[in-house]
Order: sequence, then structure tokens, then C-alpha cells
Amino acid sequence: MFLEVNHLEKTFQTRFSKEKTQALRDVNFIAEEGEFIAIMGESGSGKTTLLNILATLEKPSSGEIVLEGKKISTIKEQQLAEFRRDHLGFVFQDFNLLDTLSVRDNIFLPLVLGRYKYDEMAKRLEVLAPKLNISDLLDKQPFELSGGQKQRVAVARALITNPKLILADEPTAALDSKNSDGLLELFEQINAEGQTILMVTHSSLAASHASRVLFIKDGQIFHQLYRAGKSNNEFNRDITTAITSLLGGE
Amino acid sequence: MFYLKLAFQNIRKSLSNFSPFLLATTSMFAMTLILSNLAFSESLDQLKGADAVRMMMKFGLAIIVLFSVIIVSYSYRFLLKQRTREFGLYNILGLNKRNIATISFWELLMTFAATVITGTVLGLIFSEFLYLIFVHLIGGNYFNLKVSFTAILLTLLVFAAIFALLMCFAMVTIKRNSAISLLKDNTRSEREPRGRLIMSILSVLMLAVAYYLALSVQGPIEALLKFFIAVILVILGTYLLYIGVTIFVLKRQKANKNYYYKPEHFITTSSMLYRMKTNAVGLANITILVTMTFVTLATSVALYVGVQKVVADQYPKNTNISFAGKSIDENKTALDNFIQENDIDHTKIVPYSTFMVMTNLSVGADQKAVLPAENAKMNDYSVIRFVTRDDMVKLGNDLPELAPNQVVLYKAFGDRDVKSVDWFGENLEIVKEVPSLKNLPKFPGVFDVFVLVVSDEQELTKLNELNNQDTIKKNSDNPNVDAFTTPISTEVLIDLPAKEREVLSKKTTNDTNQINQVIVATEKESREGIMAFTGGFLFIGFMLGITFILGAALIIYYKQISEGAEDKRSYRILQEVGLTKKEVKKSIDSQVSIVFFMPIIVSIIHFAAAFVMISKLINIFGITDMGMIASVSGITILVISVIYYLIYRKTSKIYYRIVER
Repeated sequence: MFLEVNHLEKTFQTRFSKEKTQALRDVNFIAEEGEFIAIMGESGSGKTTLLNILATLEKPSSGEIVLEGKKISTIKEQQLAEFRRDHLGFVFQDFNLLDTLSVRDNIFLPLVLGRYKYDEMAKRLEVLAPKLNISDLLDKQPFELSGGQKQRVAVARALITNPKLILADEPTAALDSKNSDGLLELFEQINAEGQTILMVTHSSLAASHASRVLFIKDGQIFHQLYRAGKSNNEFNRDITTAITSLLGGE
Repeated sequence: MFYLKLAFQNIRKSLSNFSPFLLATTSMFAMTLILSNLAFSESLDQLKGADAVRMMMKFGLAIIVLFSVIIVSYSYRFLLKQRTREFGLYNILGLNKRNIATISFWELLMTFAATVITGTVLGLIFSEFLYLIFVHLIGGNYFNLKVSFTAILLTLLVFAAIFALLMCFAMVTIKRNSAISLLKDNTRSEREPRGRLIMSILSVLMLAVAYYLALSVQGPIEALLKFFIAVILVILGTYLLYIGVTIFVLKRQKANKNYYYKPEHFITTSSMLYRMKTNAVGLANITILVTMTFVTLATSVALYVGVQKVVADQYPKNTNISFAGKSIDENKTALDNFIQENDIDHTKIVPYSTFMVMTNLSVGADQKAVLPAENAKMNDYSVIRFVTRDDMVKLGNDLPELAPNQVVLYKAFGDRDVKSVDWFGENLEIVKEVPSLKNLPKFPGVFDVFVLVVSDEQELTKLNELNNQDTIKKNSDNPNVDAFTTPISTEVLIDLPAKEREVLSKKTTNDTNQINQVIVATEKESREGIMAFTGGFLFIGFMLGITFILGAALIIYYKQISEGAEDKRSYRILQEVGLTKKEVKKSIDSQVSIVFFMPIIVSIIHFAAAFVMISKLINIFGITDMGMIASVSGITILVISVIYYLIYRKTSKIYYRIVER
């Protein structure tokens, strides 16, 4: 078993009121290695909280996460950063590239922090860059890139550590439809090469590229759909149907 | 009316953006008003040396006005930059550029009104208060300052002009930007800077030349001449240091792959490169302001403290009375008459005769000073003063017997070695050098002062005549040639009670052509005269110091705000790619503190290099106590550094509030 999420709960207490908000209640699911899972839900459904907890950027109120037999919740704060760097890759809605670094150095960032040798870094990028079609962009600064290009660079940064798991938070939200399609196809392609991906989205079109879709509402996972050999279009139709019937429309 | 209302709401809502600008305009307005009030108030006429004080205040006023323009426009341009997005939004929501300019106009007008009202109140209150301090500093006792309406009007006009300039900035900014670019302006990024090798070389050259000038300076006159060249070179060199050298060094670090791609260096180097690019000019400004504060405060405090001793040295007793006639005997007769006329207790009196010549004195490799000198250099200008052994012994000095042509040397100021003097063909052999002469007044001088003790009055008269013959020969075509000759004066040092002193001090003969001149100089008068100058200087020094620090604080504040906004994103991104919160904080802390410490360290280095030159300048006023100058400088640096640190601490809080929000 690759990733196991057991009885995850998260309660927020706002600073100014005693009222508690339960963002996640008893979330359970299992992911196998090589899966491409989309987690769907409306805004406020708790999907981003779930991703942040999986990313170890937030701590759960209770429950546990097991990645390859290792309980993430027991890792100490000091080692968490290291854990994120070595085992997880992030792709975010707003790309999160550092303006102070060139494209190449943005991609190298996690490797530099992991004290890799420059030659090793360069070798990895040499393999990765053509695959993501960013070879011509490496010496530019992030502000010179279009949204689609920035997102491909962000993917490169996520992939260069060879992470066990890629976590993507609304990766297509800031992209136009053409760039969105491009990115999702890229995800499919790297997934086909064996990369496990977990993507949070509210777009059924984005979710239709996944191999499995989990639906989340009011902090609970209440439904899932498998692609089971369907085409993207067919799968998209299924997802839309599921949303309209289960969530009461989007 | 609609725009007026909108403008009012803007100021009220974004008070956090407006308040530093308001602070800048109000405090600069108050500063300007204070100085102009002190420069133009009629109360000043009651002070000793009122003209000198007025001139100094006007000089200070000119500098403050210049700084008001710089600080206020800097602050306003930052405000404009913060608000481009807001302007863009108005544009998109249907206001045209003229409308936006109208809003800016009302905003400025309201700021102006607030500035004038608050600034006038503060300025008047503080000018009363500061006048008290000022009068105390110069040792006067007229403590009431009349408000000068000229001063208020002048300040009002100056600031109206400054605000008109600000309106121009606003119009240019609004006009130049389209709606889209107005919206984007806030997040615009720039290319990584180029290598800047030439700038770096220029910077190093300029600073090297400036430091060399400052460190190699020999005499006060030379210091005065070279000071301004050095200042200009240091200012230019400092700008280039930040714009050129820092970027150059960082680029070199970045080019070294084995160095750059290490976790300890990677983020720091790249972020510093980015920071330096946006902040180089700001940091150079801070450095220059802090350096100016050091120089101004250290100089004026040293001057104020040192001059007390100079006056004291000049007056072994509280009154000097001198008689200058045709001969020593004539002087002595005049002296006896004066004592009888004024009923002075003559048992206390020890008269001595002396004459003083200011001349080029070149000392050869054989340590022989030859007069008249040929090929003398700038620093060779010296004062030679003759006294007799008999008089000096009577004043309580222990001196050897002297034959004619034998002299004892006392170097009152300067350290050139002299073994013998060729006095217009008369060879004077220096048989002994003494470290001091008791009860002989010391006169402050820019030049080296050599006191030569000769055997007796006959010798003194002979040497005086030799000098006068030379003077007459050189000025033979001048009908008034006698006026150029130097008489021997006979002087009396005496402690007199205050009342008698006051009566006698009016007996000074004002006609310089009169044969028997009497000069009565009292310590009190000398002190008051010189204190009006040094006290005024100290006061201006403090006012400028406060302004410079205010300017530096404002720049630091704006720097922290703009960096805070930029660093906010980096905080989260760095955590995602695998740094702990602590590590991120540590890394950013270290960058912020490098940027903070750099200006103060560079300023201290600048000041250290300038120290020799500055102390030579202070020497002009006869202040030679290097230990005092050094400790005043040290304390100044310490105090300013502490203030600077407090400003940094305060503004850092704002920075972290932005970053962690």
C-alpha cells in the first residue's frame, strides 16, 4: 500500500470567536503507487485543507497519514522540511516561482537545498527540460514567462527530485484552456511513466484526466469514480453527471 | 466636490500609506520654520555676534530647504508608487486621467493644509524651546524669541513650491501610465543587473583617491582646500559602491557554480542580488546621510568643547592689556600712566614685551629656517613670536642664561623640527627647546607657531628692526609703509574684578593709526564672541543631524515596507520546497541585517578615513586636543549607531508584520 489516509480530522478555531469550523471529518482513502487521483469539491469543501495536510504544511487535528509504511504525522517539525523536499513535489495554482531566481535556478532550488552536486543537477535537468518543453526558457527570469510556461517550470521543479508523490493544487486555475489541456496531458504522460499524482480541482475537465476521482463535500469523501478505460470525454460526462446528481449542481 | 470627498476618503482610509508622507512634510516644515525663525527674528539683535549667527542660520536654512525638497519628494514618489494600482483601478472604473489628477490635487492640497497648520504650531513651539537651548549654548541671557512673520511667510512659500513640484510628479506618473500598466506597476519585475565592472572600478578609484586625500593631508589650509573635493568623490564613490561593487561581487559569486549552488549561499546570494538592485540608491542615500551626521555632529561638538580650552589658554589671567608704541620704553611709560589713571593695583603686574611675525618659513633638510623664505609651500606658513628671557623668568619660567644670538624654542603649535633660524641675515642658534612657557597666552592658529625666547630687550628690539627694515624695503612704493611694520607690544596679564574689567574694556583704542595703541581684552568677551560662533555651529549641527537621521529613517522605513511585500511570497515558496520556517526566517533575517549593517559600517569607514582631515579642519580654530576630538567622534558614532539601530528595530516590526500577515 502506497498512501493511506485514516480517520483524518481537522478543526479550525478562528482567533476572534470560540466557534469551531470542522474542515475535515473522518476522511479515509487509499492510493496505490502510479495512480493519478483527482480530488473534487466546491470551494470550502475542505479539499485544499486535505492537500495542505498531505503536504505536511498543516497538521491534522487527529487521524494519520501513512506514506510507504511511514507515518507522516510522527515526523518531527525539523525533519518535515527535509521530508517535503525529498518525497513530495508541489504544483500550485499561482506557480510559486521565486522572482529572485532564473528559471534554471528555480528548478534547481530543491536539489540545492538537498546538497546535490551541480553536475548531477544539470544532468537531471537535461533529461527533464525537453520533456516539459522548457529547454529554451532556462536562462530567463520568471516574469518573462507566460502562465503556461511558468506552470511547466513549476512542474519541472516538482519533478526534479524524483518525488514519490506529486501534489497539485488547482494547477490549471490560472491557465487558459489551451495551456490547461497541455498541462493535464503532461500530467497524464508523467503518470503513464509511473509518477503518482494527487490533484485537487473543482474543474470536471481537469479531473477527467485522472485515473480516479474522489468527491469531497463538507469535509467528507462521499463518492469516487474510476476511469476504467473510458476516454477523457466519457469520463468527463460521468463526472459531470455525478456532480449534478450528488452535489446538486456546480 | 465629488473628487474632494474621494480624496479625503483616500487619505483617511490609507492613513498607513499617507502617515509617513505626512510625517515627512510636517517635520520638514517645522524644521524649516524653526531655522528661518531663528534667522529672521529681531530678538537675535540682542545677542553678541548676531550677524555671524544670522549668517550661519541662513546657511543652515539653505541646507534644510534643500533636504526638505529631497526628503518630501522621495516620500511622495514612494506614495505614488504604492498607489499606482489604485489609480489604475479608478481609470478602469471610468475616471479619466484628468479626474485622477484632480483627486491627487485635492489630496495634496489637504496634506499641504495639514502640514502648514501642524507644522506652524510645532515649529513655533519648538523654536521657542530650541532658542532657549541655543542662547544657553552661546552663553547669552536674552531668552525671549519674537516670532518673525517673514519666517512664516518664507516657509509657507518654500513648501507651496515643494508641493507644486509634487503635483508635477503626480501628473507625470498618471500621464505616463496606461490603465493596464497602472494595474501592473506594483508587481513589475526587472531583469537581473549586468556585471557593472566599470562602475566598480570607478567606485574603488574614487574612494581610494578621496581616502588618500583625507589621510595624507598635512595642514589645516590644505585640509580646507581638499575637503570639498574629497566629499564629492566620497559621495559619487558611495553611489557607485552600492550600484556597482555590490552587484559585481554578487555576480561573481553567482558565476562560481561550486560556491553558488550550496544551500548556505544559493538563496542569500540570489536574494541579495535582487535586493541590492532595488535598494542600491536607497542604501547609498542612507550611507551618505549617516556619514554627514557623523561629520556634522562630531565637528560641531568638538569645536564647541575645544574652544573653551582655547579661550582659557589665551587668558592665563582674566584680562590682557597690551600697549604698542614706538619702543619698549614708550610702552612702559604708557603702561605706568594707564595704571595710575585707572587706579590698578600695580603690585600684581608682570609686564612682558613681544612681537609677532606671520611669515613663510621654509625649513631645509639641515633643519635651518631661513628668512626671508624662498620657494615656501602652502603648509610652511608660520607664526614666529619673540619674547625675552628676563620677562619669561619673571613670569615663572626656568630658563638658561642666553648670549645674544642664542634662543630658546617653544613650539606652541606644529611639529616641524628646527635647529637654527636665519633671521634676515642674523643667525639665531637654538640652544634649548622647552615643552611649554608658563603664563604666556597661547594664540590659536591655523599655522605653526614658534615662540623664540631671546636674551634681552636690546636683542628683541634689534630683531624687530631687522624685520621692519625688510618690510619697508619690500613695500617702498607704498606711501603708507609704516602701517605695515610690526611694533613691539608690551603686555600685562591681570585678574580684575568684573566691574573694573567692564570699565577697562571700553578703553581699547579703536584708531589703528594712533601711535600708542592700548588694547584691553577680557576672557569673558573673547569667550562670548567665539561662543556665538561655535554655539551657533553646534546648534546648526544638531538641527542638520536630526534632519539627516530623519531622512535616513524615512528611507529605511520605505525600504522595509517594499521588501516586506516582496519577501512575503518567498516565505511560503521556500517552505514548500523544503526549508523549515526557522531556516527561512534565519535566511531572511541575515539578509535584512546585512542590508541594515552595510550603510552604518560603510559610514564608519568613511568617517574613520575623514578623521585626519576633519581634525585638521578643527585645528583651524586652535583646537589641537586630538584625544578630545577622537573621543567626541567615538561618542558621536556610538550614539548615532544606537539611534540607527532603534530605527531599524522599529521598522523591522513593520516588515515582519507584512511578511507574516
